[in-house]
Amino acid sequence: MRSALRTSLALAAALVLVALGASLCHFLGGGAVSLALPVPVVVWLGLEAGLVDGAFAAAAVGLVLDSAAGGPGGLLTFLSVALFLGSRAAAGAFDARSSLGFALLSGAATFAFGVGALLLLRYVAPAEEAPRLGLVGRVLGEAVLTAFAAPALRLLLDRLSAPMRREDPGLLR
Amino acid sequence: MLALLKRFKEFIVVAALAVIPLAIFFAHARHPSDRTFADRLVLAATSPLEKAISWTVTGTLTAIQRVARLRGIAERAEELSREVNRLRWEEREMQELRAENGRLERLLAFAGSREDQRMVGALVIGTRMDPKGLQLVTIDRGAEDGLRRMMPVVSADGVVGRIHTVSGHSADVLLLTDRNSSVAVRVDRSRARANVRGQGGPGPCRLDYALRNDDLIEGDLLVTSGTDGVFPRGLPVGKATKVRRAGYGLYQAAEVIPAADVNRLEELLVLVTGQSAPERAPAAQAPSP
Repeated sequence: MRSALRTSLALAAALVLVALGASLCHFLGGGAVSLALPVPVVVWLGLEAGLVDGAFAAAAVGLVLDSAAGGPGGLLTFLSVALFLGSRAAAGAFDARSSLGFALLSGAATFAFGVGALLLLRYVAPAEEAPRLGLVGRVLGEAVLTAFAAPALRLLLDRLSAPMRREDPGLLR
Repeated sequence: MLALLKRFKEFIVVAALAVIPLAIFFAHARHPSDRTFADRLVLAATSPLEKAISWTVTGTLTAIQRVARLRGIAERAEELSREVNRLRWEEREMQELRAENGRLERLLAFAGSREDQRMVGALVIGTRMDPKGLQLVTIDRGAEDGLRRMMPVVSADGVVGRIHTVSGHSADVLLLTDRNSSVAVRVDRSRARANVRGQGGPGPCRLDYALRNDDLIEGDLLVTSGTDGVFPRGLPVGKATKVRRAGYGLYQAAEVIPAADVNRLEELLVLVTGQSAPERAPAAQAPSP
């Protein structure tokens, strides 16, 4: 039940954040900068959710990203699940629960997400259609901006998921 | 085999969640297809959100701009208010100048009507109407301008008084309304003679020595008779009012409302008479009907 709620929350958050990111980018420079606000949601799932339900939720977020991006289907879904697994692995390596840690992890995840997408697209696309590696700089900017926004998103997701953390009645510690 | 699947169920599910999309990606990457139903669903869900966010952000930005503009408007209003105050002040000055111009025109007309008489224009620069002392105004012309004691002073409306004391560049004018001031007059209509004496205040004067049988009625204009050796003939002095004839006695009594309002004197004319006036204090002057 909780996993279903968490997946729903992640899906809803991804939808809202995709829309918010598009609007913010429009107002922040009309496309000069970009934001990947759903990526911190995947990172948050990696820190908070279980393996299977988190993977499902990450895949759901990836589906939303795929649909919103308009690129070849499956790419961002795969990367989301991979990012989820990577976040779970990284969470043990350092304190990702602090605001700074979460921001750094989200920034790194966004960068890896973007670079991974670029590389995979370069791999499959014909040479004349392949994305230039010069776009890495833009991905870096996206990662930095997303890292700045990540702590606020974390706070929001924690608030929204608070009812799901309620302990079972009668449980003694 | 089943036990193995059960044991690694979680890993298999997660791997499937990762691999299946990757396979789809590789399968479709070289042949981009039209948007799927899921794509359209996501777009349908995000579009209203984007519109709402855009509306909110635009609304907020517009509100901020309006507030900023309001601040500008407040500053502009303050600036305009200062401008209005300045213009009001200028308008008051203009009105003042217009009024002064009117007074000077009348004064000029008065001077023009007596071309044979040499006159010196003067501005009132001080007023001393102490009820305990003399009723005086100070003018900005003095001995340097040819003024001497006892010279008559008039305004466009009529007699104001006479020069009382003179200094180099200013002079005190003893007003018609002072107790020591006495002017020989005639009733303009009937030519009856009398004497107008001040009562020590800025109000009406007293009419003295008007014979009981003389023709004098309310509203009669009194003009200088020219017999007192100070004022030339024919200058308006005031109008008779409150005429009273007692049942007995030699004279009739009346009050005189001065033609020139001594409370509003500003520009005056000093009639430069040739002879020097007698060196006597005004209080010692005897009436000269």
